[in-house]
Amino acid sequence: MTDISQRELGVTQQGHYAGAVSRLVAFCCDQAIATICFSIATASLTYIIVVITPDNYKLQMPPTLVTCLYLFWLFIYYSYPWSTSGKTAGMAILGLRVVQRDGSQTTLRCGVLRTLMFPLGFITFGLGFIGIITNKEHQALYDRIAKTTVVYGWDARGARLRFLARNAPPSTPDHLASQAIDSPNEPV
Amino acid sequence: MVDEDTCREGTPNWLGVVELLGRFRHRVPILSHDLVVTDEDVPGTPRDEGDNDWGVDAALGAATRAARAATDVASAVGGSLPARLAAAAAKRLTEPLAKEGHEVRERLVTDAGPVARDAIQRVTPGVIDAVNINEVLAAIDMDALLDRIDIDRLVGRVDVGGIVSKVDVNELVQGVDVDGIVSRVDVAAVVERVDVDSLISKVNLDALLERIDIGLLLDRIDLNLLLTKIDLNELLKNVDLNALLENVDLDALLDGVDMNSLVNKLDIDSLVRNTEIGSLIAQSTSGIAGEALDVVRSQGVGLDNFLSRWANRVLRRDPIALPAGPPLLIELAPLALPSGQSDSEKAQS
Repeated sequence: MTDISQRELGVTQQGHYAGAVSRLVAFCCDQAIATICFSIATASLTYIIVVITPDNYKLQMPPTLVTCLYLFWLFIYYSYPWSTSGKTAGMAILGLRVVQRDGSQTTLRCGVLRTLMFPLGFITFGLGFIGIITNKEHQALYDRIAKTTVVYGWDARGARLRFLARNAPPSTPDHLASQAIDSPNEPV
Repeated sequence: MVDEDTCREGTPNWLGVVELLGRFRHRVPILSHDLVVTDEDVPGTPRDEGDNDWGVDAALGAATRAARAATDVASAVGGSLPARLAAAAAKRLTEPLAKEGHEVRERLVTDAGPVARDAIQRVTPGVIDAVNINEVLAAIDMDALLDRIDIDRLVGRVDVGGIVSKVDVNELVQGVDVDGIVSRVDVAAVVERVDVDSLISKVNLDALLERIDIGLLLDRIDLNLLLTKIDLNELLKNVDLNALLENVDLDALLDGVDMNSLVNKLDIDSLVRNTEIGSLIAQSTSGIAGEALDVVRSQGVGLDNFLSRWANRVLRRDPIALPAGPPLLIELAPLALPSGQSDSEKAQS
């Protein structure tokens, strides 16, 4: 498939159900971003505590607490964007968006429920994700519970226009002549 | 003039006969010959006629008087009792003679028929030539004649329906030289006599316009031909565009325009390719990160479709029967996207 046809396919499929590859990449991006953010935040917090505490003080964080904090962070990271804009950072990069089954904007209930049910995909050893490929609406298990789905929502139109503009023919002689008139000192 | 009283009594009208002979003596050669009328006796010269025909006139006058006297005497004598007795006795006495005379008369009638017919045939052309129809008609008092005629009764006897049924109207019309009639008509003179203003004032335009089927009329009009004949430049010179635009309610006009439909009909691709809009967009939004995102997203969509096709093939599903997306987004999608079928859709179709 050529580059042009790929762009046109992306344009024409806006609003359609998103496929497994895009969603997987988006999830990977989200996990990376969330983990990096959490790590940075944790390191920053540790650094601040070390700085403001006496030298003999050692910060000892139990792994369980860190895990809970991490999970809580993930819950915040996913539920808030899904409840408001419908897209996390990774989904924004890949141009995906979570919507309700009819295509309307997600609600707080949808976002929270989808976040809480999201681990079911892993708990079921990946079977919860099979629905993304086999289901007619590309719904995973947690999507079916939360009554949501994922669609392509990236600015494909703008991307297409940018692509076309880059491949636009060079300026016409008239245009060059008008440029020369506007700036006679500059070489045409 | 013929004596009407004499005619009614059934007695011989000798006076009338003599006057008639005198009137037509110049027209009937045989009469003029018998009465010894000369060739110089030409009608139309009354004074000469009176001078030359004095003898004939005198003889006719005498005959007229004699006939009138004989008529009077005959009517007086014939009506008396002795005369009637004498006539009866004479009839009885002359019965053998009358019988013989009757035979002779019948024989005479039988024999005289061909002779008389031959004489009439010889005389008739001359009589016809001599008769001046105009003079005869001039002598007839048409008013008196028409007064006697019962027009209503006459018309009542006429079988108008029978006459009309015998008339072949088509043949009659075909026989009419319409072109000849029309060519003789001075149309200009007719038109000049027409008072157009008066005619138009009598026309009920409302009723006339109600009868006109504007749609049918417009269907018959070849607008292309009409427009080719219109000098639009000359027409636009006379149009005050400023005044026209002042009267236009642009808000109402734009409310009636389906902007979405209009935008969907735009060939955005061609617009971006062939105008400066493309370069403006590129300058304002392009960037390495944006281009990279476009590539990643496009590749992701391509891989998604590849995976979906295989999944549908394995599950033996018809991709066309599957929903493409949520109903609200699929219905709204055309409003947010460029119009036209993409190359990939064309290839798929």
